[in-house]
Amino acid sequence: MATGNDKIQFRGETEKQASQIVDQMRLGGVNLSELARRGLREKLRETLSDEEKIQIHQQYREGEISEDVARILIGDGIEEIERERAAFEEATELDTDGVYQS
Amino acid sequence: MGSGTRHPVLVDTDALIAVANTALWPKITETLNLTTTNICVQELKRHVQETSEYPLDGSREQWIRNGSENALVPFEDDANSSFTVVSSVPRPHGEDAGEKSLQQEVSQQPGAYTFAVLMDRAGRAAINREFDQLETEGRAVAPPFLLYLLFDADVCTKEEFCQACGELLKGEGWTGYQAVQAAWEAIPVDCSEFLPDDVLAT
Repeated sequence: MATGNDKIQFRGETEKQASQIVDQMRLGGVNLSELARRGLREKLRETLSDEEKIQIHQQYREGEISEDVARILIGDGIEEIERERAAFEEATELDTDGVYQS
Repeated sequence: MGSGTRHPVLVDTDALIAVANTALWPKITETLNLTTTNICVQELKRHVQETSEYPLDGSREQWIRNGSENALVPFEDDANSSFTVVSSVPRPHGEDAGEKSLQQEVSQQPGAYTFAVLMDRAGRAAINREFDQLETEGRAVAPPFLLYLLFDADVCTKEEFCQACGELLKGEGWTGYQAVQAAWEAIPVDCSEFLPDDVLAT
């Protein structure tokens, strides 16, 4: 859990050993922080249920969570809403001849 | 089954299931001209055959069965020239055969369709690329657009439109939520006075 500072800490003895093995095998080692950040983003997204995604989007719309945070969690959804809004707006401008029963 | 005529609105299986579960479905059948493919009709029939006759209340299975049954009625009525079915040749296969059949229709019949309505985002993107290559204008949009067509023609009230959006939100999860949010922003319309807060987060 992130607190006042931006450091994330967690226990993982075996994971630490595993990362050390890879680190030693590679010239220049591995950027563990970057890997952890990417992994955490990916796994957080994966664990979200439909209901949670909807709640997050609601909180984002109400300004309760920042855009950066919302995009980490539901970035695809935010982009999809923007894309569909544009398509929908374009569709409302099109000719509706034949759409309605006469 | 009405066949042959191509109406400007082409709809796929999942879009039909979504709107046929709303209270506005009877008004859709009385107001709009819709075309689908024989592939989508087969998918609807398969849904009815493969789901339990008495699915659990509120289950996804019930949503799919109920929507499929409702959607099939006007398309299977020979006397109904407003709901037509066209045949897909060659026949698309696979899990997304219905979506593929719409894409194939749009590319084979340039100018016949103005709107393609699909629930799946990848399917919509593929058809919009197809529309972009055609000389005639057209757009692939999500199912709330069908509800909007009623609202825009004053066939339903704002409250009825919003309630039907609420039904889509409940039945289609995150995918439906994205489609409904996009529609509300595009129209634009504020449905908050008609929908309880928790409909958005349940």
